[in-house]
Amino acid sequence: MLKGLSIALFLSVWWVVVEVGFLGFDLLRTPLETAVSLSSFVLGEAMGSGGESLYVHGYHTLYRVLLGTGLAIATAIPLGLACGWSDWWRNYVYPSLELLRPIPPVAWVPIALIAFASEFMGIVWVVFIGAFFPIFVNTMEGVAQIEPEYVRAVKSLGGGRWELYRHVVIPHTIPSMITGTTIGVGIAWIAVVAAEMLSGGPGLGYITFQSYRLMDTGVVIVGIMVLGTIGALSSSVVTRVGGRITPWSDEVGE
Amino acid sequence: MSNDNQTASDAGVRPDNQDGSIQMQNLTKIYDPDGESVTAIDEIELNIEAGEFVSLVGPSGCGKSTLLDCIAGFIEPTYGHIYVDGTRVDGPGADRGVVFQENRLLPWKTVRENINLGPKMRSETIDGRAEELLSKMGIEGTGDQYPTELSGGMQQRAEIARLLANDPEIMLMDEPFSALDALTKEIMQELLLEIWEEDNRTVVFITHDVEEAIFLADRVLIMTAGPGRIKETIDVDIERPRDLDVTTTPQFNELKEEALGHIVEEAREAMESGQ
Repeated sequence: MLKGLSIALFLSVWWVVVEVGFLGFDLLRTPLETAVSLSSFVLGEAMGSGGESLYVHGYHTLYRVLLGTGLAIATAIPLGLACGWSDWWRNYVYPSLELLRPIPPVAWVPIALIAFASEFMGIVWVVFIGAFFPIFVNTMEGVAQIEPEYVRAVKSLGGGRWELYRHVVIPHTIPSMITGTTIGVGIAWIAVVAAEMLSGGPGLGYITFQSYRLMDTGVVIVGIMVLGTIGALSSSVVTRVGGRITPWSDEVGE
Repeated sequence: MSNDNQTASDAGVRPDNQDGSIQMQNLTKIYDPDGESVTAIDEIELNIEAGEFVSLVGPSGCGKSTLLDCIAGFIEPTYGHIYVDGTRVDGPGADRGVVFQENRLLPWKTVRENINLGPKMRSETIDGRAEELLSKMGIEGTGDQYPTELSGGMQQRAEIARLLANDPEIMLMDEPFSALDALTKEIMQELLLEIWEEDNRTVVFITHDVEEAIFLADRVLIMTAGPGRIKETIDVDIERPRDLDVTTTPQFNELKEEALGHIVEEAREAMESGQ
């Protein structure tokens, strides 16, 4: 009820500022106009000048996010486990990763676009870098929080190095991995939009920025709405999957 | 009680010629925080026979947990050695099961998975073993639950079931019942004796509760604080099987007074020497 009220209020403020022409808001579209263009794009009408539909742009962006995030999960989790558990990895590998960590993912865009052979690979790299560190850091910190008694318990039952990994280190750290992945996916979306804006299309970030240049604000608004929606959906997918695979933990999901 | 052809692990019944003796020689552990060394246990010489139930009592900080951690192989003594059946201890092993003060069931595994963990790591067949142990411990039907869904007392039962499933020669128990309420604690003490009388594993039981120590053990060792040494040994020749009724007999009270006398004396000495 209150939720509906809040959304209604938001829509009316939006409508009023566009109608009244507060600052430059008269150049934007009203909620109603936006709804009309959103529905036509959902029905497959070409977005902007390039002629590709919402689905083509969405597909490219989603593909880059999934690939970049997937690569990040596949590398950050093993590295986080290794650097958290083994002194050798922490001493010899972790310091160089720490060197790269403070660089904002978006700042990688120019280098990535130059260094990688294709725009596609450059964008995937930026997404990867954005998603990698939250997952890596959370995994590593999760390992650091393992209570020594769990290790002792498994050793006393006859477990060796591999059993400790399998029965203590990995399961204990899964909730932290999921937390890291949730954050990582959020950053992946930020990174993909920024990279696409600078690199070229197709893609949701590209078409949103391109339409801004052409002052096609209908597309711009629809673009950011779709990006927001997919971003929210993807983090809820991570949380749900996470809750499913950690039935013992109330840290993750609901 | 046991059949000569059966091995201990497949039947859960120990053979009569059992293992599980512990020898400690000159056992010393010195911790070194900030270069200021603290002697936790000092030159302990102790033999525990296979199948014996020994309680260790003493004030907190007397090194009893250090001693237990050394036997378990969690920490290395600074000097001296521990032998189990003549083999030197150089790390934790499945022959020495541990029941922790705070429950240490793995929270990410169900109760059944916890109980099956030890045998599973050795690829042993485990059909029905968990169910059998759960009902023996009086918590049948909890196998599919996660540890946090059980009460403290039930978790403690499940942890003992996990230890029994692994069939160790020695049970090391570090104040296992100290976090339980009085009634649950009494029930657990009787249950522990029942289990012990069935298969006579060696038990080293740490407690600060003198009554608990006497009720359970064949032998009560009283430890001194700073540095930890064994001050006194009290043989408990109360007949077995025991139930809690023995705690009101004159014989029990005499042993209790004797033990308390040593502990009070020890506490007074410690106070006078400024600890």
